[in-house]
Amino acid sequence: MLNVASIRVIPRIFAIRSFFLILALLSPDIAHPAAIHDLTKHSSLRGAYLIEQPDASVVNVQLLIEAGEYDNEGPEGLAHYLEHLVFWSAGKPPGQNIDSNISDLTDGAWTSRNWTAYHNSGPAEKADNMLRQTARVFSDIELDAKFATSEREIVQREYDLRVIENPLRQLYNKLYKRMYRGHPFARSILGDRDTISRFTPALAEQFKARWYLASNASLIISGPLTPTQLEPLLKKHFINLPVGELPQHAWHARLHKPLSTSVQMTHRGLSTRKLIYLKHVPPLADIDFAVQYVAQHLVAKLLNSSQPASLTKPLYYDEFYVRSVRIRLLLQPDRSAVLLVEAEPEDDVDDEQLILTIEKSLSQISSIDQFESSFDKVKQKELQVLRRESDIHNVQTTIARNTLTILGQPMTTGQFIEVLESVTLKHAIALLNAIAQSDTIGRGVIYPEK
Amino acid sequence: MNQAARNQAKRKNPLAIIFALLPSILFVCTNTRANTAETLEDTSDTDIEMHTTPDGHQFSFHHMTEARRAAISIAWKGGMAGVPNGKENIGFYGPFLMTNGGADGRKPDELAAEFEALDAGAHLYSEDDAIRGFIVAPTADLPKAAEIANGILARPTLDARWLARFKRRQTDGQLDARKQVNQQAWMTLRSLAISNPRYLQAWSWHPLENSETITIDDIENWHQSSISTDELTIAVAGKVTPEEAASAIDTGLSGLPETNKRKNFKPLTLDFDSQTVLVHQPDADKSYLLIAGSLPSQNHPDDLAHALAVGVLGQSKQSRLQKTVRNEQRASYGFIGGKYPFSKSHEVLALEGEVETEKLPNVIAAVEKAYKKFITKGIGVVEFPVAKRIMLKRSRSQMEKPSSIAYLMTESDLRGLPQSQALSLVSRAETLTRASVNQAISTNFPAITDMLRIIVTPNRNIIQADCVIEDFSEVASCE
Repeated sequence: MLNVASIRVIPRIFAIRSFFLILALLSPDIAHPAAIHDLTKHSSLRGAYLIEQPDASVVNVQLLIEAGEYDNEGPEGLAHYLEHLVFWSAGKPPGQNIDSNISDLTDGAWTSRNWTAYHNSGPAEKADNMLRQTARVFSDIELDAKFATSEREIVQREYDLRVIENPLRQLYNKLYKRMYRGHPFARSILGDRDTISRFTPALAEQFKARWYLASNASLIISGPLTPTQLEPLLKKHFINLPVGELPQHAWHARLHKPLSTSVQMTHRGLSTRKLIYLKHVPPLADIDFAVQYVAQHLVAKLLNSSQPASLTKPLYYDEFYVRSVRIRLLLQPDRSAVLLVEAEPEDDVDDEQLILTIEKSLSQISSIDQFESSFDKVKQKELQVLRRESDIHNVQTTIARNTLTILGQPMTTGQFIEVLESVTLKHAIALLNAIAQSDTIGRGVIYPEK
Repeated sequence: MNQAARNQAKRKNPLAIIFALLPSILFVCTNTRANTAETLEDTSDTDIEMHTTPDGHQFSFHHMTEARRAAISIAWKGGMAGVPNGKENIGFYGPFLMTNGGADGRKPDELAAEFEALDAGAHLYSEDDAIRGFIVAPTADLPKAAEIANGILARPTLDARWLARFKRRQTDGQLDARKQVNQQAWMTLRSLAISNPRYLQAWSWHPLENSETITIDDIENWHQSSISTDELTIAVAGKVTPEEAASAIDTGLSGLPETNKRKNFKPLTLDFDSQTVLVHQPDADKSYLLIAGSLPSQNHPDDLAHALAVGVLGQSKQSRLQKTVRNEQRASYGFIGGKYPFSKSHEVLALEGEVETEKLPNVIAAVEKAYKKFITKGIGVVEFPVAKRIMLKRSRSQMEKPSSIAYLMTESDLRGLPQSQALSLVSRAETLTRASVNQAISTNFPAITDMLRIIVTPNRNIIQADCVIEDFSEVASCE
């Protein structure tokens, strides 16, 4: 559904995150009702929520800490390295080494631009174990010193896996660096070979001490538990955790106008050029943020669709400007947004011609005759899918997590549907106008190495 | 397609989208010893009914009371042997052009927009022995989805301009793939183990130039001789009545020719020499290790035991291989073990991952030691119940999805097995014991000395190899 750009780590090393069609084919079709209970008062956490799913087969626990790479002032990628260390430390029994136990808990962790999360799932009778393990995220890191230091090499291998043969990711990193120069938004979550080599457990501990506070973390638990069953477990594991005073997030610093920029690079792994067109979109002051968030999701769907008022239609269908195109809209924590257009231009189309076409198309979309019907089709489809899936357990959990990390409060699927219903054509037009009017543009092209 | 999907796709057909769909299904697409211990989780065999549509198409039907949608799976039996030699990649371009290039007089975007408005999914793709098609939709959307599908099947536009565009993209994608270390490793493996060039063309796109000779006439000939109402196996699962399903099937297949000219390639043979091949790529930024050997096919009675065993060997953070290579050697982010069906008769066991170049010699020794221990001593007392619980959980999850059940029913039929296999998955998993799984490992898993080692690396001298090449296309010098 609505993704926060993130790095999924252990153990989903080769997990599948399929595209929409495959999701549509594979969605589990059995579903059941749920509600969200606010149990914050039974913990030291900023938030503690239970999504009650009486007939779920497992309990899922997600601890979300509002600190990611944007909050890191050390070597780029340190928040992610810390996540690795904490994952291993919290996941093992105290005093034992990491491979000493075999567990059927499915646990994992990820780091995004401004959040770090630790999650696990297992049968309801293991809820106590899962919560104990999750609470250990706040404890001191307990790892063999050699292991902790050498985890840096594993992060290096992860960088190799995700970035070295991924030219677009390298291009994105360069564009962000120039466009948001000096601001946390310029930072890359993984870092690079040089910064990774400078990680130390001590630096990671410093970051942890600053940000891994209960007052900066929320817990979302879903599964066949009742509030009455969960309350004592929260009191047992999540009271008397470090709270402290939180520093202000560095991204709160007023963003000087980002720079329009242009980047060109080459990559040996490419046989044809790829282009990125990027636009910084300031926050929309007049629209409720939840509505903006959902409107953004709908507009991205519309731009990617085959509807007459899409961006794909002029670029891919009507004329052969591109062989492929993907459009995304990402929300930043300061409520600004970034439009990302990734395209593979056809050989006979030059970069300038393509960029002009993108800009012209974006500025005209909301005035196309079929704009209203295109928007309505996309919205109705989203509503139809969401209503059908609204009581599927992982859909509920995903919506709660995404709304918590973006809006600050978890939403039920019902609440999310209400917001989706309230998004109007006017909101979509306001967003498209803001995109069209923004003059902060990043252009990047990556060419095959000769 | 994301990295993970690409990792799956590379095993057989590097850019075939369907392999994004398969992993979760392959895990459970299995056949074990017959048993009678049905459980409450399982659906009874008698829940599969046979029906015939008004137009005479026979289909198997499984009603799922709690499902929200229905899935129709159709397999056009028979392979690609009818296409000219060297043009086997029609198997990719044909279905791709049919589904993405417009149909029924409608332009590609009109057709796509019409389908996007439905709460439905669909797919069409080639396998070596069948063309497979799926529609998944709520009952209300099924007639419209079937109508669109019929246009695609019976009256695709097959526009030469769009074919040329897809070929440009696909050719460049293949060239890019060849520059990746994991793709080099798998292409080397296929080139060494498979002698029939028709399979290599279909799965490795080698030689790539052959695929560029495919014309719109080739696609039209393939379409006319392949998509018919002959030799079908049709399975329906989900919340739909037999009458509604029959109507959708008749709509979807309306107007198709009654006969086809599909025929299979000569049966696949795999030959794994126990040699070490080093693919020296001086410009590569990293190294890849792939150790592979033969497993019995998915039709083998122990297949479910093999799946559980492979899970313990290489499919989680606490797997044997992950502990060995990541936690002990500190040499890889992820080192996995998997089993991959190359055909209905052949499966490949692969131990693989990116590895820090300088640690390769130690990693190879450590992986071989860990694997030897695994096939000698089997799965441990603590590991087994955890692995079995995970397998049961996944199996039960598959049983909730109409698309998985329809796929498995079709797959059973194509394998010559009773379709009830698809529904007895959970009970078959429940019969597994540690002893039976360990027996299957010791009997059926290849010895490390019978496995092929492929190392793709920038360091020519990092290990002593039996054969050194610079590209998978040079493997003839290793044979």
